[in-house]
Amino acid sequence: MSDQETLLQEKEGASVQEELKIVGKTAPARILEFATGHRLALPIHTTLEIVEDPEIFPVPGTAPHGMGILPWQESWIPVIDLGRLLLQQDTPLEEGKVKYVLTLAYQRVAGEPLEYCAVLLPRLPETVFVSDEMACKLPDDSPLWPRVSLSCFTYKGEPTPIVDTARLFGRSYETAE
Amino acid sequence: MTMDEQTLSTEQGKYVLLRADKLRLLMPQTEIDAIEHLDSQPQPSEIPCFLTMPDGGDTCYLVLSDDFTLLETCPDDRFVTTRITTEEGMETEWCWSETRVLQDFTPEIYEIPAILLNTASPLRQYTLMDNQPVFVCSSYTLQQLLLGVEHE
Repeated sequence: MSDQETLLQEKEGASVQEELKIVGKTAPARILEFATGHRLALPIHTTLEIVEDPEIFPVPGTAPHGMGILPWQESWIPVIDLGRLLLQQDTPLEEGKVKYVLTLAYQRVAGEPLEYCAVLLPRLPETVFVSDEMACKLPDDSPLWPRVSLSCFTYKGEPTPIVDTARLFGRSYETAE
Repeated sequence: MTMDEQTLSTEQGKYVLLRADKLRLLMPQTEIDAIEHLDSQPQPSEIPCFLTMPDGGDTCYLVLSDDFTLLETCPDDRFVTTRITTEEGMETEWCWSETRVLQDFTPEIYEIPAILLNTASPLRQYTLMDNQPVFVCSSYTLQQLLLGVEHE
């Protein structure tokens, strides 16, 4: 690497540091209220697309949280009811129909291809900026939080876990039930 | 039948598409003894989900729902049966809305995503036909449903 390239890398690194100072070390997160009064946050780069009126094909005999598979962008992806998976309660749906799902990406191992799934979306997600000062303990409404959360912060007075999509969706729950 | 035999061949061959209302299954034709027209509706017997014909002897008729469970009555849209002989030598007739023999078919098999499954999930693979999932099923999988009823 030439001196000029090294200098360029250092300058790029410095500009990233300055940017962090400007925004006060906050990071954007997408908040999903997956059940009434229950929220989780996702790293914003993992949330891909809101699909309206999704055509979900049920898969017989699945786990209670498995809604089926959805054709999406040349592939078929699983659709998950987070209320069922995390709280063992159905996600409330208007008129019993799935109006929206949110497609998500995750990567089990660095360097491996991205994988995709979708979650029921009873309400449209919000985007917030999270800072260290907002950190709090994980809620105790789901036994899965410690295994799937990166951290937790307070939002609207409630603890809101930041979830690692690979930990939550890149695994089987066969032995957990 | 061993557990290994549950895994279906993905090689080119004869398969049968079985439809029960919205449920669509794919089974190798070699696992089916016969496909016959159902002239009249089987009736409930003393054993729940085990249907019989008034003059049909000991033959047991079975009907699947959309969600791969056994029904206690036979809907009007079931008019064709597939005969499958169990490991114990019992002849069972499975009632369908439609059967279609697929000659020289080479299914492209996909695993059902692990996050959707639990230990009791009977179906583990699917293929795509007409842009819809068709679940891979074996006679062994159907027999397991019978065992579930017998143990209730």
